[in-house]
Amino acid sequence: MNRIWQILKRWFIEMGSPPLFYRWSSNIAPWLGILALIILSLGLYWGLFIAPTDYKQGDVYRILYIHVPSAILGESIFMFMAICGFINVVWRAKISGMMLKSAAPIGMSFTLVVLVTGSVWGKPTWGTWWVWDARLTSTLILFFIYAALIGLHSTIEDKSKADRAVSILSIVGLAIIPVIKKSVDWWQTLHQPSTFTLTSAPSMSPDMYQPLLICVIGFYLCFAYLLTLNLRNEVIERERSKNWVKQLFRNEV
Amino acid sequence: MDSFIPMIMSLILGTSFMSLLGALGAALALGRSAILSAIIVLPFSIPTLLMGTSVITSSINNQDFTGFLMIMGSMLALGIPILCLLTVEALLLNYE
Repeated sequence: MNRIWQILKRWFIEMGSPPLFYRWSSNIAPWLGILALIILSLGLYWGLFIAPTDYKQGDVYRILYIHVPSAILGESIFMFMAICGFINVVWRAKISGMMLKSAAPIGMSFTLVVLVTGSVWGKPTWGTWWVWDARLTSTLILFFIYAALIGLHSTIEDKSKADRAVSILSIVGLAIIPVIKKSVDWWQTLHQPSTFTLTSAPSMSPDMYQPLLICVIGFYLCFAYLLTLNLRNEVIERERSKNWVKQLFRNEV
Repeated sequence: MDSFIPMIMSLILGTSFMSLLGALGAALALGRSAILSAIIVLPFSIPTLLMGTSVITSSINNQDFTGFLMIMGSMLALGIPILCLLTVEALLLNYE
C-alpha cells in the first residue's frame, strides 16, 4: 500500500514538472477543446431552443443558461485558485503558482459575464439594471478581489515571489465564497435563492434543468481548455531561459 | 440604547479582524506603492463590514442578531491563527 502511494506521489510530482507538463498537455488540449465545444453547443442549443418557455418570465429566463454556469464557474475558479495557492505556499510547487496566475483572468472574465448577464436579465424582470442587493454586491466584490490578485501579481518583478504573494492573498479571499453562497439565505434579497443544491431535488422542472446541467459541465470543460492554453503560454514564458525550451523551439524552427 | 451593546460587541470583533487584515495587506505591499495596500485590503474587509452592519440593523429592528455576531466571532477565531501565519509568510517573502 505504501509502495503504491509512493509511486502515485512521484507520478503526480513528475506530471507537474514544466517540461513534462508541456509535453503531455499538447496532446490533451485539442481534445479538451473539441469536447468542450460539443457539450457546450449541445447544452446551449437544448437550453435556448428546445427547453419550454417559462410561464411567468417568457423567453427572458433563457439567459439563465449562461448566467448560472458562469456564476458557478466564477466561484469554483476562486476555490481552485485558493487550493493552488495553498499548495504553492506549503510545498512550493512551481506549477501551482503558474496555474494560479493563469486561472485568475479566466475567473475574472466569468465573473464579469455573471454581472453583465445578471443586469441584462434584471432589467426586464426586476425593472432595474442594478440594486445593492447582497448577492449582487458580494459578486461585485469577488470581481474586485480578482482584480486585486491580478494587480498584485503585476506589481512584483520576481515572478515566483509574485506567485507566493498572490497565493497568500487568494487563501484569505476564500472567506468571500461562503458569503456569496449564503447571501440569499442570510439577507432578504431580490435575488432568488439557488435552485441547484447537491442535497435535494431541484425546484425547476426536469426539462429545464437538464440542459442547465449540461451547460455547467460544458463551462467547466471550457475552463479546463482555456486554463491549459494559458498555462502552456505561462510555462514557456517563465522557462524561456531553460535548455528544454530552447531545444523545443530549435527543433520546430 | 438597546442596540448599544451589540454595536460595541460587533465593533470589538470587527476592529480586531480588520487590523489583522490590514497587517497582511501592509506586509504584502511592503516597499511598494501605497495605493496597492488599499486595493488589496478594501475588498477583503467587505464581509466583516456586511456582518457588522447586519448586526446593527437587526438589533434596531428588534430581530435576532446573535447569528451575525457568531459569524463575526468565528471569522476572528479563524483569522487569528491563519492571518498571522500568512502575514509572517508575506514578511518573509519580502525579506528573502
